[in-house]
Amino acid sequence: MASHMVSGLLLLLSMSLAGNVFAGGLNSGQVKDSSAPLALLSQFKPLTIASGTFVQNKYFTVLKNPVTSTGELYLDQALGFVWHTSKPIASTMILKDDGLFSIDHRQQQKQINNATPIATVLMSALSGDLTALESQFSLAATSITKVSSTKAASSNQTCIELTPKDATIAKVMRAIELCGKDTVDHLVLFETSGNRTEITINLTAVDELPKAIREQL
Amino acid sequence: MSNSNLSCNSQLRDKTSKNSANQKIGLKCYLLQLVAVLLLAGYQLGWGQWQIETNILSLLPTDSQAQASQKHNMQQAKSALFQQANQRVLVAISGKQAIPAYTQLAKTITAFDGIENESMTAPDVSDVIAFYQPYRDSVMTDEYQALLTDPQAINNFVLGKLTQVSDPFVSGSLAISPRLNLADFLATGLSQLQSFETEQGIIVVNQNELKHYIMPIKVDVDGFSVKQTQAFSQQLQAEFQRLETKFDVDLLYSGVLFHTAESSQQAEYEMSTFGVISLLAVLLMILLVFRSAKPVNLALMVLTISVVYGLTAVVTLFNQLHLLTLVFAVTLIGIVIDYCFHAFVSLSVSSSSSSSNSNSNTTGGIKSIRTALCLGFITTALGYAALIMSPLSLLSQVAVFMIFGLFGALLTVLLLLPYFNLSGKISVTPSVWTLTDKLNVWLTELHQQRRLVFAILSLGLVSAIVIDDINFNDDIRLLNSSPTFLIDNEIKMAKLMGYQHSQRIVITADDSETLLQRQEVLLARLQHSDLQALTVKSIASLLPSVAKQQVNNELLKHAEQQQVFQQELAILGLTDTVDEFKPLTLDTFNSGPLQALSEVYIYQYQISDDNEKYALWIETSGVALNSELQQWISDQPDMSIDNKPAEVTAALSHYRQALLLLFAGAIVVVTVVLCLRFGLAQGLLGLLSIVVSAGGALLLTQLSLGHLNIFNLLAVLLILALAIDYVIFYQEHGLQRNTVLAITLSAISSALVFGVLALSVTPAVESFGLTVMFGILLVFLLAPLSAKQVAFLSATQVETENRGKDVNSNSIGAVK
Repeated sequence: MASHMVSGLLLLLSMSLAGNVFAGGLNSGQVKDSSAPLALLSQFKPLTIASGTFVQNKYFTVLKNPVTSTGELYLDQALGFVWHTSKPIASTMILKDDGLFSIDHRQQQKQINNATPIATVLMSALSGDLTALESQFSLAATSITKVSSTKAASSNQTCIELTPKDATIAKVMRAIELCGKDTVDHLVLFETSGNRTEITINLTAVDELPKAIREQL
Repeated sequence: MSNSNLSCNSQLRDKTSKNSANQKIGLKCYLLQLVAVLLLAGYQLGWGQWQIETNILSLLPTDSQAQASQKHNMQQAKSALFQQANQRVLVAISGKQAIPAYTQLAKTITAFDGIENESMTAPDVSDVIAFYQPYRDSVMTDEYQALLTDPQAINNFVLGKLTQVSDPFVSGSLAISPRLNLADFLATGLSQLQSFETEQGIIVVNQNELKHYIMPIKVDVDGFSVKQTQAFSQQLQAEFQRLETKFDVDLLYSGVLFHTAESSQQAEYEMSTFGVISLLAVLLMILLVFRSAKPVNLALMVLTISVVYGLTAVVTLFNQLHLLTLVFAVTLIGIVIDYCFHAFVSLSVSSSSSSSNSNSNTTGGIKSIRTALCLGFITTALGYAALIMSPLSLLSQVAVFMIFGLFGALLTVLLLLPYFNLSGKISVTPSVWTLTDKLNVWLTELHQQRRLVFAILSLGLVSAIVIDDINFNDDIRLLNSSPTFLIDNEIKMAKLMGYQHSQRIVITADDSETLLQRQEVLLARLQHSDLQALTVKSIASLLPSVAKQQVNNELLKHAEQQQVFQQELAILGLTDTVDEFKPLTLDTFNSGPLQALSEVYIYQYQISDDNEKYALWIETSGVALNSELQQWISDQPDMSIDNKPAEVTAALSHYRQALLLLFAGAIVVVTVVLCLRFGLAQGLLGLLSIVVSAGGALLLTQLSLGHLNIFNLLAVLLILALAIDYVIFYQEHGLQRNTVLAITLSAISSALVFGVLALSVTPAVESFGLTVMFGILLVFLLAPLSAKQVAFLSATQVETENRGKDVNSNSIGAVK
């Protein structure tokens, strides 16, 4: 269940990759009708290999301040996906053929079960299998100007809201919102508990992932 | 009942001229006890408390050792915990349309009576957290416990948890348990017990890049009701077929239900076909030989009566009748027909005016064979009697069935048949006599060479045993007659669900706290076992014993005093103190959201009115338990590994060895009787025939099948019974034509009956049939060789036969 969030996250990442390739359809300032997300998706072409950084802020209802973490992420369609948190404490999430694994700061590796929804979503996202995404989520477009904490956007951003169709996932995840101009660079996971996670991503295409990363996958 | 029989028999033995009076008395006694038996049979049929048993695993022997009560206790616990195993069916659907097919199946099942979909819905995280709130400071994982000495370690742990992209346990419990021991405990515990992935609430296993959607189904079937099992099996299989065709998916199913249905259907089919074919073949032969329907009717009557005796005895003494007993019951036909043939042949001989048998009255025929028949029966009964003591219930059931059945046949042949005044009405076809005489000649020639024959065979037997060790394979899985596709399904399903090397360890206790504490002892032992790949699943990961909970609470309080949590709480800006200890009991747990899980692992059952017991099981998988662990577990009086096939295989092996000893005993008894009756030399010769026949049969079976099992030994017991009969008749009467004819007919009929068994699909029955076939062949050849004198042929035959050879052999025979 922990990885339901990850699935959403990875889904959005793949969308952001699409954004990199995607050139023309998304004009800032225009109100999109409900077919636009599908249109956006239909021009979705994932990047094969990419790497980048992220900043994550978790807002817990019971805490005054968000818990902030930063790290790197690596993506290779053929090999898998690595989400590495470096501050404040090291931890890594790896998705590969064998499944979803988590490594904590003491280098202890554990396999995470109940990962199939995430695995499905992730794989469909990475492979560009949009029908699977559509089967897992209901899509709706919102084009509210979002003031993200890291980017003071003066122009309108396009946001797509994804609501999970699977009841089990819906128990934990209320909705996922992804926003961006040309690319998706900001996503928010809304949990049913009232907590939310905001992630800002900076991803670029590369020719090859670093050797150390490839060895992990 | 038996008393009146004994007194009747002693009266009969008074061979005065009051034959008809005796006959009348004998008949009266016989009818009296027959009525008694029929009444008993009728009672058992109508009001009897017995059941038909189909499961081969129910042959598990009942231990008579001192630890019986402990074992009994454990057996009860296991059957209480696992009774549902018989009712479980697993279905795995894969393919493009797997999910629609799954949904369709779920819908159809709700319409079936007595079948329900058992998929457990994952409990709501927030419900679980709310339930554990009062006990939040009594639970923690071992990993968390290791952190409690180091504030920095706690700090890092909490930060690590909080920076996960999504962790519903952390999200849900941070407010009420900011030390995150509860979140860690619940996440670890639930993932351990619900290790399967789910998709849309359906368990999914990803294997070979193919997704299998799993549905556990519970069938409300009474293990003893064969018809019901078969009905459910058919209903489900039909539905599975339908779905496969309609949705174009692959549907894999497994469950004890299907095996029971198939094997019981197979047993029923075989029982009816073998029984019918045997009967028909034998009755046909009677018709051909005696050219009259009377022997057929009489044989049927004797058979029916003996079967009634046998069945009544079994259900009265055992309250249970195993299907396999009925399959072996077919063998009774062979021996009863043997008695009948002796009777018919002797009756037809007594009717012949030129017969040298001096008996002039109608009972003469039977009288002449009475001694031999009684002697034969006594010896056979003594031989089988040893089996009754066997703890293996199948053996004792078969023994009781045979002894009482033969007793009924004996009484009927001796006391009822004479009443029918058959002497004028049965006669053997002349051409049959001719054949018999030819056979007799051949046997006589063989008899002359008997020293050579015996020497060769004995030598052959001994050397063969030395060269190719008699090899016993006691694995009970060999005795499983389930069709290959079902067995394949089980293997595939086990691989899919990760059940390979899966073992269950059962613990019993008088109360829940002791039960949970003992579980923790076992878990600690397993952890220290150095078995790397060992995975353990138990309810302990969600419900520690109260003692452990208290320890956890103390540890947390102590850590709090040491200010281990201060830094972490400060960073989060929270304050929180460790609660006072509040125990979470089994009863409370069972009223919470995890009740379904608890029901799977823990069971409370009653031994007697005021004696309640608890039992639970833990499951290990990944790698088999090593011998050290197994030894440790078996040393614990309240723990036991549940491994039925291994237990039964070990038991079968044990009792196979016991059977071999029983054989030795039976053979000694037989030899003693033979020696007493016929003298030492003849007795030993008889022994030799019997032993070489039995040994040879086993050897030949091993050569054909590659191994032997306990059912081959059961066949040997039957060979012994037949061999005893043949040897006694030959030794009592010599190589007379009637004896030869009767025994030949008996051998042919037995071969017909058991030849059919060798075709069975059940390996146990096939082994049995094959060994008896070989045994009959050998005993047919060897028994006459043990006779003292060769036949004096009737004068009629000498006149009608014109072969020089015959004359020669006659003279040689006379000399001998």
